[in-house]
Amino acid sequence: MLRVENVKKFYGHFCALDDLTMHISEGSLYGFVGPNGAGKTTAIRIMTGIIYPDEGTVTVAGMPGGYEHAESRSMIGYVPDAFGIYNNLKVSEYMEFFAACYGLDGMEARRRSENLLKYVELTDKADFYVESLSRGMKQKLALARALINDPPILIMDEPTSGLDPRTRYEFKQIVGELSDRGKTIVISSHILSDISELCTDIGIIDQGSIVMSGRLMDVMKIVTAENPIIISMARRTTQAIRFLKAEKRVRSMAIKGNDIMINFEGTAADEAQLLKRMVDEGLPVHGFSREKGSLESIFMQLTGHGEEHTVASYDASESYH
Amino acid sequence: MTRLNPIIKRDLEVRSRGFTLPIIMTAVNAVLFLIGFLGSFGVVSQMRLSWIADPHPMLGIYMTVILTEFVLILLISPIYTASSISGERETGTFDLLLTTRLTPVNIISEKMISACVSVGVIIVSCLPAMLLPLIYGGVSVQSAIGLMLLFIPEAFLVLSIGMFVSSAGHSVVRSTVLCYAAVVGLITVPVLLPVLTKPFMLEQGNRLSYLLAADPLLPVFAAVTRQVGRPGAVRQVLAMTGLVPDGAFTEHIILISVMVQLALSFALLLLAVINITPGKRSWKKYGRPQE
Repeated sequence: MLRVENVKKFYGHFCALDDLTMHISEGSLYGFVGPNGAGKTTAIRIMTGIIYPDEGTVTVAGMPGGYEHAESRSMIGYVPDAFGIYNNLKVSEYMEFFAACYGLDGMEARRRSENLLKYVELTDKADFYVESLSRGMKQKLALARALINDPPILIMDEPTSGLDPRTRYEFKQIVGELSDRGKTIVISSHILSDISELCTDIGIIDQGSIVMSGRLMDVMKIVTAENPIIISMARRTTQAIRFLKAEKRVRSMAIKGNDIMINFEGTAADEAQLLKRMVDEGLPVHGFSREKGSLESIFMQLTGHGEEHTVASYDASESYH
Repeated sequence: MTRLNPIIKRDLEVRSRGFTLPIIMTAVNAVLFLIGFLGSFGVVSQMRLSWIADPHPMLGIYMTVILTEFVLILLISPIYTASSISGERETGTFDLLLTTRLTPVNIISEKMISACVSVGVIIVSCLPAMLLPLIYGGVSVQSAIGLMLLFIPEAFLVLSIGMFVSSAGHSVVRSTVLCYAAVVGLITVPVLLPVLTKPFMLEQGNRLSYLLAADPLLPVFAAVTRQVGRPGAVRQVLAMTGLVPDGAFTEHIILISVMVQLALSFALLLLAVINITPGKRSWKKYGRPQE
């Protein structure tokens, strides 16, 4: 649906995007994450046609993207990180203004505006000035505005930042519904819990390049597979440590109370064999599970430029045998 | 029925709600009426004392009112365009306009039209104050209205300067200051440059004096001096700057000046369109990383 191919963008000598490639499939809810200054907003502005790449191409539903292609441009609804709100207009006027900017006018503009305001629960604020709205309401209004011409693609830059938990929840509900209706949605966010809750796909950008992308479930599996196994002992922890030290597949070990965390190299069957041998040895294993992977841990690993790797492997070096 | 373009509609709606336009109109009219009333009162008092009914001093007041009004219009006009694009950039709405079906030509032209309407309303509102010193005649109402119409291309030039500066900037304050600096420069440089270079160019006449054609004050000054019976005033100004007066140039100076200024205005508007068109501003990288 949306393809960004080998895009480069320079600001003077600073390379904001370095050979960025992203493929966003139709109907997906794509989480676009990266640290500050990684190039998220620049990439989004290039996707929407607001700025041009120095190299590379953007394709929207098979059509060339970019500013001069009005057809592809109007297929994208854009919610910027700044609200993009005219304070001196009423909510309904704001909506109808953008409807007119898309060539809609009169009854059609009013009908769409009313429907969208109802959808984001702002109907009772239609005659209020935009400046009187709360931050959350403004963000909902910005979302309604982006949908005024019913675009198949919605790109949102940090839509939930600065919102209170309830508004964030409501906002996520709306985004989820839009995704269910078949819209292709790209969300850039720092709030990784939102991304992991909402998104079907993910792209992690760092220093202008995508460092990991794919289906969120697949990415999480990879993360989980690399996580340590936590073995909780009811007692006899020392004997268990001695036993595990003798195991070739155990690369490293850390101990926290009765919990032993091991970096284990092997398949799921190997893990099962290890557990069986421990039980056969008479060790009272109380729990045996692989630590759940989190988006945060992979984000830290991939975007830390080396310094966070030690943290991500959670002090394994301290007790490496 | 013709559909009103969205930016024009929005700008006019917002301005009609605000107090800026009424305050400006009241202030400008107050200044002009004050000059007109005080001047007329002085002239009438003088007539009572001398028992001579001479309309010429009233024409002097008319000239003062016209030039004051014109200077005020030049000072007011940047308000309407200097922040038009930079203001939208500051609030983040400009990016949104670019994602709609509006083209840069639409954006610039619609913003210019709405600004012209506002400035036009101010100019027209000053007509009674303008006509007050003509109570004893001397200049026909048609001529006075004709002179008022001459304000429009001059205001258009100043609005275009504002639009251009605004299209290149990201800050309202900076673009407003730059716009005023440009307007002051446009008024003063074409006069000062020939005057300062005059001693070096006396023999063949100072060609730099032709720069006066770009000065927004010149056509209004030329028109009003002709109306009040001082047609030689422009020739004197040209001579002061060192130009050996050229018959055709001085005779058609209003037309030439208006044409030059309109050409300059459209050139600035074209540059403004280029400035806001993504990918067209090759001489300066557009946009900044925002994260």
